[in-house]
Amino acid sequence: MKTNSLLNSVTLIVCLICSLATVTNVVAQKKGSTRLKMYYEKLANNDKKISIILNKGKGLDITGVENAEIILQTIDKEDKLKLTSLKTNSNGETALIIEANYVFPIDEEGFSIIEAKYNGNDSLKSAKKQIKFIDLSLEVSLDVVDSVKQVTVYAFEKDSIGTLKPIEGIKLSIGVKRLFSTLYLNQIETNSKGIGTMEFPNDIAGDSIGNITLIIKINDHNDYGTITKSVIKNWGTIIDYNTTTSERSLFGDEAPMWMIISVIIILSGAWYHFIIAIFKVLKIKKLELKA
Amino acid sequence: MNPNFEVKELLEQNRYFIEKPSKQWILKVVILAIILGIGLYALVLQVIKGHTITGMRDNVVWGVYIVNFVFILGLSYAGALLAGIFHLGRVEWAKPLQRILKLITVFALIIGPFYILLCLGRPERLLNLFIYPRIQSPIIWDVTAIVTDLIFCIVYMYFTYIKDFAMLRDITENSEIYTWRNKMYKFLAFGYQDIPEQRKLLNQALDIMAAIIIPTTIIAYSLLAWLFGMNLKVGWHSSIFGPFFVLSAVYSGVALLILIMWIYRKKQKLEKVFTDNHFLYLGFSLLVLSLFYGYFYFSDYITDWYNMQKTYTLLWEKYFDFSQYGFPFVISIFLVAFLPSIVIGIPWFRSVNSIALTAVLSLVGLWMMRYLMIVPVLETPYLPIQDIRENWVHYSATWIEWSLTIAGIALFALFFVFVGKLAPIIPISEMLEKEEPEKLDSYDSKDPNLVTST
Amino acid sequence: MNTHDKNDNRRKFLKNVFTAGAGALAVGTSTLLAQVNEPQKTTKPVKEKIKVLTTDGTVIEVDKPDNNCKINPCTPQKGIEARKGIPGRSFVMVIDLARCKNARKCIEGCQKGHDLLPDQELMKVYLMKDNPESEPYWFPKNCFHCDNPPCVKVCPVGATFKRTDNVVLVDADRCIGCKFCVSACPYSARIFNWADKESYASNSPDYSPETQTPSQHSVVSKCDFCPDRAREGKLPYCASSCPMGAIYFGDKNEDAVTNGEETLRFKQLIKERVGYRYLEELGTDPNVYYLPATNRMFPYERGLSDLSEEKKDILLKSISK
Repeated sequence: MKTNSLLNSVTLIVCLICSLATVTNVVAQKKGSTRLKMYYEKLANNDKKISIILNKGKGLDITGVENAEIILQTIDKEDKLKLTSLKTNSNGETALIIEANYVFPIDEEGFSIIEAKYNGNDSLKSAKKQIKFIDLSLEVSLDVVDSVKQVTVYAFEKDSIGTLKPIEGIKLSIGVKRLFSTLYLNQIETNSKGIGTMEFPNDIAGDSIGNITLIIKINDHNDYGTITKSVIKNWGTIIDYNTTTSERSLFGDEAPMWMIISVIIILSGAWYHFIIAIFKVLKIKKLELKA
Repeated sequence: MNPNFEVKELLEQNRYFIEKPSKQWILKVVILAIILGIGLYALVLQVIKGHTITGMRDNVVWGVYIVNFVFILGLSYAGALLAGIFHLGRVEWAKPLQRILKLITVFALIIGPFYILLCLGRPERLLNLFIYPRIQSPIIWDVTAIVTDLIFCIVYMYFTYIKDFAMLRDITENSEIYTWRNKMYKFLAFGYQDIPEQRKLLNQALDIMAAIIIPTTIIAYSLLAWLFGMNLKVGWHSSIFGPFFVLSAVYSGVALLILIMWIYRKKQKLEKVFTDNHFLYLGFSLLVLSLFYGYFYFSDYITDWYNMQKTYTLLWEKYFDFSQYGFPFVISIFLVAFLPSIVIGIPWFRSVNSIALTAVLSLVGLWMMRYLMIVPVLETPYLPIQDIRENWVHYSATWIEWSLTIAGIALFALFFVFVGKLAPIIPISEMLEKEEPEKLDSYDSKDPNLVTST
Repeated sequence: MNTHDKNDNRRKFLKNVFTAGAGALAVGTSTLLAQVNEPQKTTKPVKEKIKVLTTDGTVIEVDKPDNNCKINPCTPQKGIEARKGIPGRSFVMVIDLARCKNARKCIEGCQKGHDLLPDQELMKVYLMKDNPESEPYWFPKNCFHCDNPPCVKVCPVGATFKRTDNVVLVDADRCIGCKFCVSACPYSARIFNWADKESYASNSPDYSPETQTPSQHSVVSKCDFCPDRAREGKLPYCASSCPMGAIYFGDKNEDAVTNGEETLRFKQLIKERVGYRYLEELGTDPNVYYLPATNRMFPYERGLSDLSEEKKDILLKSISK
């Protein structure tokens, strides 16, 4: 009896091991690891944008997960309030735009928290990521003081009752929008009053009427994320937008005048004499004596 | 030195052109046609397969075709230039050569531009040259010059034939066998009956044509020279190119003239027309021209050599490197600058046959000099060619290009063979004309010879 | 049978069932998992939409704003219109020789963008050595779009032309293939389409000199500064492909050049880094500036490592002259 039960338990254990081995053999890989990346930025029109990338794989084999469902939630004290669910594109990217006046719940430190969650599927693990941000506002004023162009930026937080709290020590990059990119002119820091100023140079090129698009940017701040603000102002120099060149040149469409005149003179001189010679010979025919 | 031949005697010597084509003539035509046919086959291949079957690639974009073009055009302009100078200068001994010169001019001018068409990537778009011309471009200058010159030269050549056509018309007037020829000559003679006033008009027209042909050809060939001279490429960007090309052209023209003269003298037994003296005079001209050529070339080299700039060094190295262009360079310099002095300068070597041989070798040498002027320069751009493909670094012409070159020569010869059947190769009427004292002022109304029309 | 035996039997039976069941489950799961591991069929995204969370908490879906078009008109211009430049622009390129390591990604990017054969290079990379004592460096060279272009001067039909935005383009529909411009360019910037290719088409209505596609055989081609990409605010293929950020491109009028990562003021950059133009003495006034190969990031030999023996030989021989 005892040997019987021993044999039974051994058989059971062996079978369990075999089945486990079969399972792990057939399904050689474990569930793949996934990683969520989240970016918060505030756009020029005060809308906020949350960009999410879901990647799988390691090292050089990192690729985006296509068509994955990401659930976005905001955390209000202990509750989780579902915002929406997003689907990633072929690169594993997706984004949500949040209108400017949407009010996020704020925790004790003033942060709003957004959580992105991917539930995983049969082959991929689930992933979760949170970002915290505080809504920082920028107000830009452009004035000319003593014929010096000045850019003044006021950085402040607005709390729930509407009081403005100036923020010190914010690093702002100020630049102008160019065709392919943004040319940053300077980096300024806000003072205790939350104000940063910069002198705008006089030699920045604008468009045909002298307009430039001023870009004020906070780059990836720990608390405030990335904030962009743009203002159009007539502080640039005027560029000639004329596309017709009436210049005569060797490489232009129209030849220099002296060239045209020389060619006409030479050709007409030669052909004039040629025509005279032809007329002389034609006259010979006329002088033919009919037999 | 203008022996007064009887018309009949001259025509006796030239009977071949009136008679039916002989077996020899047909054989000549057939052989030349075969060579031409091979060339046409090569042409068709090139049209179908594109330029990849030639040797031209991204650095040497101009190969044998452009060499041929420049060379043949040089012959043409030289022919016209010499014809014009001999005519205006009333050079008596050169009278029998006039027709050959004009034929060279016209035939070469017809064949030359074909090589440009072969070099074009899109010859079907040739009309763009006339719809969208840019007169700042040396090619447009060249095209204008060629078109103008072609028209002038054909008309000039026709004018010089009028007197002979009139003579032939008169000779075949009452013949029963030459009826269609008679009709043809009647049409071509344009009513010329050697009435004094007609003669005067024709002579004036010939004078005018000769006078405008000379500057036209010089300018035209200079424009072609500047196509290279104005190019920034090392070896081309030189101020000597204008005069150098004109000289080179005249040199090649004289050499070709000697060659053709020799062929006719031998084939048609025209020793009394193309006399030993003709060979002597032209031979001496060839010698002088070869010395001039040597002087121009040496002048170009030594100016570059004394303080040689970097890329020039790379170029000149190629000419003296016997694994690259050394042999062709030495051979062609010898043929062009030294051989005529030796063969024609030293009386012991001098003879009609040796002069003709020198002329042929000079032509070959001149062609090689043209090749050396174009291809190694294109192989030496400012930026080094760091390419592993051999045929993108060095140009080597394919059989297509060589066969088309030879086909061009065959076509040239074929033209001469055919034109020989139309009229004699020597301007008989002109040679029969007595030398008349010419008035400086041709509009003297008191001239008793002047016949005014009623 | 006594109870003991009965219990034993039950236990035995249960054990057997359990074992059998576990085995069956193992086999079943494994087969199921094996099927699940097949790659799922991907669904193509239909339209680019983006979700917007409105103020009152509802989520709506709107079309993603297409801000591709920076300069109107955004489509590459054709025919006569292509001869007018993009208004107010004056394109210029700056190549930092201290950064180039002969990765040749610029060449590949350009070839892909312009439908070129693998041996056709509108952008070439040379190995240059200025004098016997100096160190060799890699020299990317495309067309310089000169202000006094020797190529434009000699074109007999005006198939190549200079625009007000500094760009020199080729109209392949008009080109007669005389190759005069190829020989006139002192910088060997032009190539000729010797071979025919299936994707080539002559006088196609889709052809634009700004893109040079569809290409044609037996006409001339060269770097065109990608004006079609500039209309979309994108850098040319070479500048955006360079892994070292060695190629800066921009607008001289705007005084800004960028390599995709950093944007610098053009005049300041040339002044500080002593930018120069290649063969300035030829008087062609090129619009590609070079920053000298000082403070190199790595030795030039790094660029030889991926090349064939033949090519290495030729390069080293070329710089030893």
